Amino acid sequence: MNMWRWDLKGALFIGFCAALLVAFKGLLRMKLGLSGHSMLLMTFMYLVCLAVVPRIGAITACGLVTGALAMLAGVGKGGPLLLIKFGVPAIAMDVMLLLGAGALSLRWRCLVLAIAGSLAWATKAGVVSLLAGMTWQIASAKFAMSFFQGGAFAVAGALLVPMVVRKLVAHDVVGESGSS
Amino acid sequence: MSLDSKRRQSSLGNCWRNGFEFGSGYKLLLVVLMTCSVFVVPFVYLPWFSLLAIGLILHGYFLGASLKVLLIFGLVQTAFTLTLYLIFHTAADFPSALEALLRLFLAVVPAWWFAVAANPDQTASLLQRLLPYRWAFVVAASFNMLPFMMTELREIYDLQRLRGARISPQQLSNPKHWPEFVRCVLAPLLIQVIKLSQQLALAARSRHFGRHSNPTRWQPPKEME
Repeated sequence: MNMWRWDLKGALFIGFCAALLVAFKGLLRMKLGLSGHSMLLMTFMYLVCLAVVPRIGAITACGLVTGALAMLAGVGKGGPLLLIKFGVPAIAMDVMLLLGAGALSLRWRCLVLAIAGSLAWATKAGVVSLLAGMTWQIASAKFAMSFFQGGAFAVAGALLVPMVVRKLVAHDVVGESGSS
Repeated sequence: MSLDSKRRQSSLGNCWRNGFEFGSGYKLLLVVLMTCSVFVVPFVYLPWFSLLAIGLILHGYFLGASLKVLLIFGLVQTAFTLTLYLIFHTAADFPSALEALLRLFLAVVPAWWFAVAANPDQTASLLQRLLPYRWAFVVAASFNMLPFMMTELREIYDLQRLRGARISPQQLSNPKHWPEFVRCVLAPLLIQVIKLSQQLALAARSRHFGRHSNPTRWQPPKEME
């Protein structure tokens, strides 16, 4: 599937979803005091993107555009590392979609993709710890904590998606199959 | 002389004249090089990286950035990692833990500095050159829509709170209220965003967007002079 030959409408929707995600991070800043809460909105927006633009690569595109916009807007402390922060879970979700998650029902697809995204998110934390020179026990502990905290928020975000998709279908802005 | 080499010379000239004021491309290169090398260099080189990081922190501070983010990151990572080391190892392993923490901190400082010091116009211009034109347009359009999105989000949020929706920051700390937030704020916003993307795509297509083999790209005002 050629990523660069998408229709402009879908590409713009992905870009606007990315802008919305950055706006949320900049504006609301839900101070839940827990690590991994960024996975909630991230997973939600990625899955909405997939529901409206049902193509392999839609989530990756949304992740990378979000990273680029966050970098431009100066959100957080990440700079260019934001591309990795937003991009890695998105790529993992797309890989899982390629491996057959697309055949599942909407609710189960969202759950499986959310778990894949949080797994990638936690793996990134573990790998960075190992690269920094921490022992494998510490890296594993960081991986496990990131996975459970990020995973809980990601699953919560994924469970909200079917409700939104139903609303979008009811307003006739998205077809029954998901495409806008 | 080609346009690219002229642009390169002019950019290098500006670097020379303005000292620290070099372009986003050079800043990005510095961030990538420093972040990658801080994980692989031997310990003896870390003091040099620390000196460079102190310079970047001072530069960011004099540009008006708050050091709170870096401070919180450092404290949280230190407390969390040392606790884990106490659980899994002994206090004798603290020096290796501190070295790892130093490497982590030195990897974050350049990224923070980039977020503070990079000119968004220059970074956008850099992205325009790196991305395919269709995605460059998407990034530019989305970046320009960011203030509009924030205003819409705030307006919808305020209106929904006025009508009594249970979506205040305190109420949102309870997951029970998240579906209401999605129903009241996110769903209307997404409907608006879908319609906006359809309108913008139609407007761009009607102006023959994507028909030319060598399309023009947005440039920051300084480069156009």
